[in-house]
Amino acid sequence: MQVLTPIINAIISGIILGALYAVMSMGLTLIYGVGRMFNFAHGAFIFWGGYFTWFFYERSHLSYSVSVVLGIIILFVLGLIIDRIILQSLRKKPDFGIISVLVTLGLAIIMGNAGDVIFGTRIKTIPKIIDGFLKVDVFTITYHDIATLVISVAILLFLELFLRKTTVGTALRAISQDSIGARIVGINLDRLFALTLALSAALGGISGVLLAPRFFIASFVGWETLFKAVVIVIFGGLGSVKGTLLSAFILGTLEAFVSMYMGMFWVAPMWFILLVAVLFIRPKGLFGEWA
Amino acid sequence: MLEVHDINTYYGKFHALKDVSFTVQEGKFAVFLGANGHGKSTLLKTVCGLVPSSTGYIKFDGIEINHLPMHKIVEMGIVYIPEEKHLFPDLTVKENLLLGAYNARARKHKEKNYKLVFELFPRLEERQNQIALTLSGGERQMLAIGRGLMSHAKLMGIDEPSIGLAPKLKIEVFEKIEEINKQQGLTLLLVEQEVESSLMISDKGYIMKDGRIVHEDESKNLTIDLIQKQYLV
Repeated sequence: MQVLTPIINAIISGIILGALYAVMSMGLTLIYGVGRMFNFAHGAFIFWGGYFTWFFYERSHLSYSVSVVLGIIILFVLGLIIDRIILQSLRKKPDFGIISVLVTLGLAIIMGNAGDVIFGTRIKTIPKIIDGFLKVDVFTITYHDIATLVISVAILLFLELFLRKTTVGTALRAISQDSIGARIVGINLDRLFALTLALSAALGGISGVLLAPRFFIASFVGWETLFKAVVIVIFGGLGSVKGTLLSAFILGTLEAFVSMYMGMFWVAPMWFILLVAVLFIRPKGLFGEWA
Repeated sequence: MLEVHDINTYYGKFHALKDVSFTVQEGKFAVFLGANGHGKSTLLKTVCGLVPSSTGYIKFDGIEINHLPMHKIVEMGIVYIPEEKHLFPDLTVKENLLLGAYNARARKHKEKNYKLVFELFPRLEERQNQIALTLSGGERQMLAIGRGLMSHAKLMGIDEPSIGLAPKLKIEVFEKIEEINKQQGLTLLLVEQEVESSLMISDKGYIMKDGRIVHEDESKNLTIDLIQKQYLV
């Protein structure tokens, strides 16, 4: 039983991390699947989610829940605005693929620097969702982690329901499969592209709040999380929701094991090696169609 | 119902449509014939809003539509059935059809039109829960047309529906298209290579060459000989 304990601990950590990473990466998957765009500003949405919550909670003294919800709403609207004002007119251009990479990269840098300037570069923290921990036999798990797992799974379920059962969700899937077909049935692509970026930003923001205890809240977190999200999304197959889900849990569990048996120092190299390995061996990823 | 006036369409530098003008009355069935690459598809795509024109105007029920985005044109009642079909491969037949009724005007008639499509294409009903990728060529064409019908359109532009189909299926497709026009009263614009069948079921024929309409007449007056003369001139 002694030998199994660390393994089970790693698996539990892996599951929690997997759910978190799934929420973190899903926004990137959506925007690529629907908008065929690689949003390098996704990491910025993630840490700004943390910033807004911190700001409203620590500075404006609003309650924790209100701070979180407010931050997510602002990010949602920000997504709409960015798409409408910056991306919509650029979409018509033939080299939109490259343009979108440059534009979102620039956006990420601006948002990162803005965060540093407005909030200062000192790392921020926000309180746990619930304090305390649960002890079962030799296993300890914090209530915060349980809450994080429950919330992440709930978010993923809602997203799945949205994509499968609602008209708009099905329209998003349709756009990702055949954008000309989508125009033919009368779908307003511009409007749904904006919605997708808004949804993506909101998802990023939520994950930023959920990740805060592990990753803290600072602009460099944006790049760290972006990198992991990119690896997860490529490993799972660009644009595949199913792929991202599976990939997040596999890689999350892998990270938990590496962290436990090799030490935290090896986590960053692990991700880098994974990225190179996927691109070499199977760039399509698990379920991807576009390389 | 449809008035097309002096349309010129370019693909980059390529002048695909040159000073094209014609009108179509409500409920009528017009067919556009001509060799490949002479502008038939482009004409349909321009009328239906997929491709913009640089000059002239297109009026539908008196309203200018040539500068409108496609989703607004679909809303107004024009639907395009492309040669490539552009079905949603990973969605089921049912999901494809329901999305066909995406525009606001069509949503009220969703149930009714859904039944109608299956009456017209019973084979689709059998396959309603299969994803579109698994359908045969003939079934895909039926689904493409069915999805177009779901949009509750008044005018439908169909681009080479019989292409790639076995002869028996070709006949079936033409029969269904004729039914859509005669029994449901839909105004139809058809682009086709199957000259004889198209002329049999349509009211008026237009021959296109080099992006222009070079000849037009009632379908009953057009013969294969006449058309071949136009193609070769």
